[in-house]
Amino acid sequence: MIRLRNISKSYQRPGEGELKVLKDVSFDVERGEFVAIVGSSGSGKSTLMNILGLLDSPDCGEYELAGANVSSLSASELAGIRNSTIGFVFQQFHLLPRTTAIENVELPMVYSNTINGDTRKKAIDALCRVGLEERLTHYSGELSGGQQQRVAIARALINDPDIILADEPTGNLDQDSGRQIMDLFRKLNDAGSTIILITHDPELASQASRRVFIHDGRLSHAEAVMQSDRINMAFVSGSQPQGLSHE
Amino acid sequence: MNRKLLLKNSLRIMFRNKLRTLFMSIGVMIGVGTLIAGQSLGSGAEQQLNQRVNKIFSPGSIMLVSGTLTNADVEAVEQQMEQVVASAARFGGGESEISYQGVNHKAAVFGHTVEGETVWNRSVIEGRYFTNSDMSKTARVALLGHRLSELLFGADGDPIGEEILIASVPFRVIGVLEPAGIDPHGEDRDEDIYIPITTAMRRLNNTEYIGIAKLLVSDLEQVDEDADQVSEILRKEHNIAPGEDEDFAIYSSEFVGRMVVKTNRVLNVYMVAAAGVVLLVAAIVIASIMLVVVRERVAEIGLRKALGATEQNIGFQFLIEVVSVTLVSGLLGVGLGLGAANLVSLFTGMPVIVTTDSIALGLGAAALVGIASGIAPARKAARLDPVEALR
Ligand SMILES: Nc1ncnc2c1ncn2[C@@H]1O[C@H](COP(=O)(O)OP(=O)(O)OP(=O)(O)O)[C@@H](O)[C@H]1O
Ligand SMILES: [Mg+2]
Repeated sequence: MIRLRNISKSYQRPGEGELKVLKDVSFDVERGEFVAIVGSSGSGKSTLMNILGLLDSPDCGEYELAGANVSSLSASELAGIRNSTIGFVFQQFHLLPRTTAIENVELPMVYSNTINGDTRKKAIDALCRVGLEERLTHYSGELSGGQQQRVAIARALINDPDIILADEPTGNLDQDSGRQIMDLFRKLNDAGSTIILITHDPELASQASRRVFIHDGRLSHAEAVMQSDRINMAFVSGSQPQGLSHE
Repeated sequence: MNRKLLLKNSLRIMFRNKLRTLFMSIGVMIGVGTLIAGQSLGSGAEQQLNQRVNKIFSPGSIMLVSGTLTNADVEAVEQQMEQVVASAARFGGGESEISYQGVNHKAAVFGHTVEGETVWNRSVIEGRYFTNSDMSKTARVALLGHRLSELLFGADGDPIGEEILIASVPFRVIGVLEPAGIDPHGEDRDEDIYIPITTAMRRLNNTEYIGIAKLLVSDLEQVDEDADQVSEILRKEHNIAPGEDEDFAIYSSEFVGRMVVKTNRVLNVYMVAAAGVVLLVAAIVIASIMLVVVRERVAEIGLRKALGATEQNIGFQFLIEVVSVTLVSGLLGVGLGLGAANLVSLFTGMPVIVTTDSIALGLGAAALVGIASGIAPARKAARLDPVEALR
């Protein structure tokens, strides 16, 4: 599904020279996987997600998404893939203000070339999938944080994407709502969705079927995580992730 | 792209910010309103002026004006130019005191010939016009404009056969003139009084000079050339050496028609220029408001891009938002302009002529303002980097 090879990304800072944010990152995700990318603040998680989500392009390296080499694609082709292949879930929800849940979920269909028929009905179906059948015509401001994030997830699902990219989806939520969101992701994964979850919280990450650690722009791959055994991990390579105690 | 959904989306956004949308609309409404009002009143005024001028300067007519014009001059022209099919002298126009049983009124007194009825294009609605016998007898008979008749005899009074005084000379009223309305100089021609030209020249003024004569020519295409020929004949009759100034003036219907159109154009150009300035200001206001809007909606733009919007999609959206506002404003402006024009018409009596051309012009201008002012904000929005916009 996803194949990253030797991806690097750096930012030019005037006066400070080059800031290397991603260093030689290689990474694969299979269809149907639920992968968590874990790392502390500033480690380069969002930068990686922007590249995975085709919002940004790497300085060098190869990125294959669903069999296509994306570095050769034009800006509008990339937009088309974002629309049909990727579903984004952001930490800040990013719902349109003063807009109903249904209309928010309809938004990706505005830019879809393949969707036709009743966009409203599709939006309602997606909202039902995330358990918001009671809040269809509520405005974004009339929803709790957890409900807003569920609207965002419904929006991410609406075009049947191959991958869901979620960057700190529970970062702005209390524990309960966060748990609901994670349950939802697991359910979606059980139903076949490929999910990449980005978080700084190793415990949250442990709910994924696989964890990958990012530290200072480098990835370290860990073996599959058992729910009961969160601390004992065998690192395939690289340094120990930050935030975990030494043993 | 699902345009229906996007349009619904955009219109809702514009409708939500009512105050801001109002600020964007107001200039376009006023500008288009000015344009439409100007065009409608302008066309109306042109038509009205043309009608008034045509009453006197009917197509194919030439007017001779001179303090020393005599009947002999007019006869000479008629004899030498077979294309002159009719002519009629007119005398005077000076004001005199008119009285009837103690009611006094000042009115312009004109001396007319029998031919005047057709050549000057004004007959009677009551009674009879002058006859040859009135002319030869220098009869003391008079025709009244209907307003003057009302002033002297009241609205229901019957003036025919009554005796009135013109500058203390008794005259018998034999008819009421056709309504003529206000002339291009603003005089009410329905307060005029007509008497036989012979009576006016000999009895009242004791003069040989007729003042004005109107000629009708056969070929409407040749009026200017005919006017030149008339001028040459008159120069000979008045013994004017080459290079010397003429003591007469000649106006052709063609010449006057051109003058009318020209004056009206000038008026129209002012209105269009005023509307243009308003619309220009409106475009600048809209563009700056929209630039702020784009800045406010950075996160939305970033989100839309993440969800698959291309640069064109985003640019199109902002352009549509602006153009839909200006077009709706333009429509309201058309209504406003027509309302204003009709209001002016109500008070001034000026006719209003609405053409589809002027409405198309107004809406076209509104759309143009939208596109012109929307392009910069749309480009700015389209080029936003989604990564930065979403941060
Ligand atoms: N446009 C940019 N210009 C310069 N530096 C940048 C830019 N974007 C990110 N960085 C830097 O790159 C590093 C990684 O940023 P990134 O946003 O990927 O971190 P993160 O892992 O998502 O952190 P957080 O958990 O706080 O969201 C940071 O040090 C950040 O300051
Ligand atoms: Mg981040």
